[in-house]
Amino acid sequence: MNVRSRGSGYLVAAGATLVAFGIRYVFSPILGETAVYPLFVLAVMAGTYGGGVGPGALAAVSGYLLADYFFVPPIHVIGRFNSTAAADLAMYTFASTITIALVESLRRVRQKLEADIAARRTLEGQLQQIHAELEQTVARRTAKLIETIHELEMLSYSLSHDLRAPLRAMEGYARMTELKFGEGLSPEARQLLQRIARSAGRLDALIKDVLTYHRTASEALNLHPVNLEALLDELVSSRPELQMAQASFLIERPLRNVLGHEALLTQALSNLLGNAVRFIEPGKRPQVRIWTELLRDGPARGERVRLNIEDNGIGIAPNDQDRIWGIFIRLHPDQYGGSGIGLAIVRKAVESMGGTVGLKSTLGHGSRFWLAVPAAPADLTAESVSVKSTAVSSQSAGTATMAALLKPQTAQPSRL
Amino acid sequence: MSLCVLHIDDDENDVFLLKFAWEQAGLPHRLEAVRSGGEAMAYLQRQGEFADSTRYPLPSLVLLDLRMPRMNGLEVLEWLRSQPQWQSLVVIALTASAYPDDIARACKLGANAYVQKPGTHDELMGFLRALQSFWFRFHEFAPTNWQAPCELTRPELQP
Repeated sequence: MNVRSRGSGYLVAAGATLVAFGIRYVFSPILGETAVYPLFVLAVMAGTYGGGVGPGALAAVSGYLLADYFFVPPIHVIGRFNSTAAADLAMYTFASTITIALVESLRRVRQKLEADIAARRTLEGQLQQIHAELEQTVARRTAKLIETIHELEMLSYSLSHDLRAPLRAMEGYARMTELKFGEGLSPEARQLLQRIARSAGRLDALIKDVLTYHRTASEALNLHPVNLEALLDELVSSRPELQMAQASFLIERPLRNVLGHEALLTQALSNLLGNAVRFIEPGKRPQVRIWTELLRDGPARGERVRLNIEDNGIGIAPNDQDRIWGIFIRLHPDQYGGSGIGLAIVRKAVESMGGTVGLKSTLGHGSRFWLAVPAAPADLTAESVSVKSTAVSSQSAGTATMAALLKPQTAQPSRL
Repeated sequence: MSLCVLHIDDDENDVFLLKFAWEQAGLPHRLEAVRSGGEAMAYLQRQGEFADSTRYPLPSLVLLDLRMPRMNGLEVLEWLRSQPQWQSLVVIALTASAYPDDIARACKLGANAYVQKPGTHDELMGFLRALQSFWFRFHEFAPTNWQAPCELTRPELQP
């Protein structure tokens, strides 16, 4: 408490005592010698509340002096009492002391509260300032991040443009030399040319796959009911790499419809089917079984559909089963090729649709890969879903291949 | 019917390799190449060295690279579609760019198809087979002034 407010506390005490005296003086013809002190106790209360113990004591003492001098007989004398007056004085002293103690503690509580409130106001101000600064920082960083992402995108596109041009040339010229002059070359020289072409082709495929992975990761998603049967039928009948392998596909109909993104599902399924027919012992005919099952994981996750793709390929050792989902992981780089991104793309695609992937495999006895995605709402009949997915695929041409170039208008593969 | 195809591309290697694949595929059509947007305009307007119509017949199909210095492919495409004579010319954007803006703009400006440049000789042969079985026969069944829809071919889904 500073000096000025302490001084004002004494002023309050003096003023209150004077007011109490005035009121008591006005009423003294009525009151006579009774009720000398109560008003002065009020003054003590006011003095203490206004300035603390000191002003309270001042009010108490001056109140006593005034009361004793003006109202307690003998009048105009201080310090001579009869027994009633002595009892009154004792009462007054006691009441004043209690009042001072109570009011002082009340005052302290008030002061503490006020201090707390002030501190809190300061804190709030600081907090608001920090908040504003934080928002600014976030906005600035976000802008920078968006810029960086944009730059990265531009970089990846120009990489695809600039890196792939010399690769195309390398592959093309090696093939050209082999095709044009191959007959004059020794078998070894021809083989070397083929190696050049293969390596360039593989690097080109790798760059394309990295770009696909990047695009899959940043795809904005809009989930629609997708007819898996139609999608798989089209994949199986139109993909050259699936045709070449002499594979048999057993699709256990009916497959359940799912809620997904058609282009991403196409991407994921074509990679999984491609793997299923590719990773097989030489000379063995690939057999792929495809079926769906409904998973009920409880109300929180809703109904999901698990699509299983089971092959009779070379299988995957237990140690490798987790790591094959990573990027650039190839278990058999020499024998089976590939860029090592296929399954990473599958996982990315499925996870961005809110799904999960997994596998079960015994080395030498084939693998079963599965993906689980939300089921299409039950009230959509297969027919309406089919119509919808047909419309989507012909409109967006998201799945268009060179096959679409061959028959873009007539390409409505039979569905269901 | 023998057609003429005009290949507009600034990349010497791509021009050379397409020519080679063209011969390998045994296509019965002519393939002419120009190296810039400006040359393409001169060719199509029969200006300068391109005045000789037997040496440089007008094309019924254009393979257009988009990323070229100075006048780029999109500008060539815009100019083409502004000429009444070339409204229904089949234009296929054949480019290394997979940049979505390029794809969208090419289609908006009236390209009939967007194909990312094949990365290998085998893919190039596949592309030529596709040309042969669909786009070269386009004039047989397409009504005049018919605009083919732009097929947005996703690069990663090409063979």
